Amino acid sequence: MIDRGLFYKCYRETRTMGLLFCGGLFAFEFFLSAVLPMFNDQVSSMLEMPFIRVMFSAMLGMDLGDSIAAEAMAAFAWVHPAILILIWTQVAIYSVRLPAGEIGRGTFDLILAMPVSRQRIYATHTMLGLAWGILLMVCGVLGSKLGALAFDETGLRNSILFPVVLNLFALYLAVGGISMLVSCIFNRKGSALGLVFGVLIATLILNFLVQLWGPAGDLNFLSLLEYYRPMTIISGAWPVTDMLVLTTIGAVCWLIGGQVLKNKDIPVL
Amino acid sequence: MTTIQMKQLHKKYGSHHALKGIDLSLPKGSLFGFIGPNGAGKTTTIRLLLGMLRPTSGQVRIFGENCWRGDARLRKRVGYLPGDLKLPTFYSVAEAAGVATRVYGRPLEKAFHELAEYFELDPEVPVARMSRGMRQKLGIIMALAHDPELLVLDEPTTALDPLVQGRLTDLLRRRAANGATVFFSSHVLGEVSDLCRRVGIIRAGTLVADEPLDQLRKRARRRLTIVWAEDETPPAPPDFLTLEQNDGRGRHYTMEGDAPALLAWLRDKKVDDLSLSEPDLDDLFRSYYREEAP
Repeated sequence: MIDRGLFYKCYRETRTMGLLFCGGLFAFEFFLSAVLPMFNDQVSSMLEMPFIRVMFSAMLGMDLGDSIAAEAMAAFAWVHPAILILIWTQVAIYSVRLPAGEIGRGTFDLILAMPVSRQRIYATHTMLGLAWGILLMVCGVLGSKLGALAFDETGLRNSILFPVVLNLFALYLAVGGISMLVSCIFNRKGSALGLVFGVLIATLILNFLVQLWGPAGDLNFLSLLEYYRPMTIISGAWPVTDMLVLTTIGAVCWLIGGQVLKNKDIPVL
Repeated sequence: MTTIQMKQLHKKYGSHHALKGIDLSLPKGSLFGFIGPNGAGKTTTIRLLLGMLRPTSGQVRIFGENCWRGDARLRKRVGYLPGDLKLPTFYSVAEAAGVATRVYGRPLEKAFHELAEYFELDPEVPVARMSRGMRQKLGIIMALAHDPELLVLDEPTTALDPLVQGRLTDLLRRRAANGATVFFSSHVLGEVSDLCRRVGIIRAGTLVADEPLDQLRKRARRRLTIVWAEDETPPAPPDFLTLEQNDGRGRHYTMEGDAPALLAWLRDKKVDDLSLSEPDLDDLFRSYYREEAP
């Protein structure tokens, strides 16, 4: 399924970046888990302002009402734009590095000269991406737990934290699948990243637009964030459908990307 | 046994016809020089050979297997050095050996270190701190270390000093003597004529020549200078000689063909001195590069 040598090579090339993102997510979650509960009262009073309420609803995926519970505040640590941007950036940069990044750098020839099929190259790259994704989630959870512990906060209960993180990992898979498909179509990392970030920014904008402008609601199903709503988890529902949708988007894009790569002419740039 | 087989190989990029029906067959142990000007189709041919491009039509096979759809394990038998070599920055000889050992599933560290010693490359220096020549040496080592049966080398001597070029040539000769096939692409005639026994010349996507180097030498022009004896009126040159310069008794010609015809012509003529240059392969190749082949 995967090639050990190629896996090691990809790991060595992405190690620094991956660890930086993991460290970043750990630090953000640590900080947010420690700091957010301190502002619970202030946030509740801010929610009386319609615009702020709309912003929070957009981020958490549900109308909060007039006040915010401590658990909802803790959940905010998992939907903060900085967290999403950090995770999306990591998965997008990682995913487009093969094949688009390698073709652009001129190093893909050496990989293709190895006795490894294109499908296996693709699978190996994917497996390392999944490993980075899991490590990223683990670092987020550790940051969250240690942050709450350090400042004597309760944080999210495990029964809520676990599905939130799973849902976030499904979002990671969707973004990863889309990025890998785009990477297989383009021959330059810059173009591929541009398109992926375009899609992600559109997702963010659409998510906020829906709260501000009713008719945009008809298009909300196109936004990836429509399928990542921690507040529904806090209210007791397991986001099975949302996770399935995100995983399916990721898997379908990944499969199409694999077919594109299998049949692609690899140019010299 | 045939190592490389191309039959009516065509490749189009949109409306650009990059290869126009290449036919080529290389037996095991060949030392084949593949030369042509930039943009002639050398790299496209190599990329088709390695399965990086799909032929528009025609066939390209290595060891009898289709290069595009063939098993990836086929490449265990192939060593490849790209023309525009780019390496991962963390690579050193030691790191590259580690990756190759895992990929090829057999220990290659010893081979990497022996080759590094042969090419005088420090095994611990990473690519980020290497000069261009050092990177080229590492690329060559990576292509050779698993002892492939087919070596595809695209401009391998780029950035190498003459001493290292000589070592590479020696090593390739030894590999070929042991049965490896060498496909050596270049636009520099000198390095091809030093190493290869057979040469293919590609121009504008067409293989305009494919023959043993000795044959090409016979067809190449030579510079001939004859100093005629004082009592000999210089005769009109025969068909195989062209008078280029007249310095009185000294006449400078270009000669096509081989020496026996010249000796036959001179048999009953009085000559004070004569000099005949080596076949001018450069001139012959330039004539192939021009619009109309000879």
